[in-house]
Amino acid sequence: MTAAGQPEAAISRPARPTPEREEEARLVARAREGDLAAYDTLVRRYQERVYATLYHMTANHEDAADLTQETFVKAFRALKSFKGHSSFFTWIYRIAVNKALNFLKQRRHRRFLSLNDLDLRAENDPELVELVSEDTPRRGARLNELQERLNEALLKLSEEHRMVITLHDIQGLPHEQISRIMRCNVGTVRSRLHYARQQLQAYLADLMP
Amino acid sequence: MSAPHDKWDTLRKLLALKRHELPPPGFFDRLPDRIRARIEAETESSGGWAAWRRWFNFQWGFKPALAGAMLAAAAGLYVVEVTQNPAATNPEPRLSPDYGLVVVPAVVSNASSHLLADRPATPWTPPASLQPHLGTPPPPGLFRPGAGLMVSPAAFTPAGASLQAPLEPATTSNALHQVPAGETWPPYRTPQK
Repeated sequence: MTAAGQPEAAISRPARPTPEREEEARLVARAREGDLAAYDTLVRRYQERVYATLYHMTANHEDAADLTQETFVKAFRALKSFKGHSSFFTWIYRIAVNKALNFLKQRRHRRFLSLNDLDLRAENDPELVELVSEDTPRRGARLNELQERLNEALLKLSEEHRMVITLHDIQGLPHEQISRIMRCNVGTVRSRLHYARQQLQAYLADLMP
Repeated sequence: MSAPHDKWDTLRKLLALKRHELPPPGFFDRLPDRIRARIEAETESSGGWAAWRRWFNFQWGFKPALAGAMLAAAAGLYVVEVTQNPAATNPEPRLSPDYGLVVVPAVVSNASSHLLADRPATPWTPPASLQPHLGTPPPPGLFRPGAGLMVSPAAFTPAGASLQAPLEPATTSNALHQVPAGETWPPYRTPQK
């Protein structure tokens, strides 16, 4: 499952006319004619994934919330240019990615963390329980510490490397879709992913077994 | 030293931690309304031009080529209208049926007749104010090829007679004043020595 609860296989499914895509095409057509109710449906469908991408890139809720709004507003204005060659999901992700990269270039001089609260279910995630061996009330504090260390390490990566880690390792998008979103070839995606993981492992060496 | 696979597995689990970071409760319930409000606010603030453009887009779909073609067609219609009907931009003056001058005859009273009698005899030409521009037909050969000048012969009244004669009523004829042939008007008098 991806961060938004969507099976990875569903995202990696090739673009063929399915009932979902046909319905999405109808919604896009209506939104293009100014139907805000139709656009509202599209926003509700993709807002969590767009927000998650922007949040993992900025590590700040307020910035991510603003950028998510800007992404959807800009997408509405640019609907005329959406030709349907890619899915609406890929198209709006591309807008979000460009928004994030532009924002980070402007914000490069300041780096701070304003992290969201962890979902309470995180403490019961078996994989995370395995990471935090202490079975005590301190487990939550330990998880928050891990979260902070991880975000600091992510912020040390370049924007392109952080984007690949976010889209692939956190959100679960396939290489091909990332290459379409970032407008680069699949080999570049794989290369960036490999380098980014190596860097992260180096930054978090003391947490590694 | 741990195997690379173990390191990657640990990193993968750490990254999975990121999926549990959530925005404040209710954020995703409010976000669509905020986006909608922002779109509507930007639409209103962009003014009438944007509203017109949206209407145009909704009705026809925005096609620059179509807009250019419509503009060219409108310009063409305007040019055709102007060339076919020059009066639309340069209305021709209304002329009298005989295309004569519109003349307003002077009224000369008996009380002022002695002033005229002292004047030297000079050929009289109507002042420019009596030849209003709007009453002047177009020059021959320019707008009406082949048409000759429409000149009415001058006529004069005998000395002394014209002043006593009642004036003719105002006319739009091109004849300025009917004077018997062979006589001058105003009357010429030989200066008294």
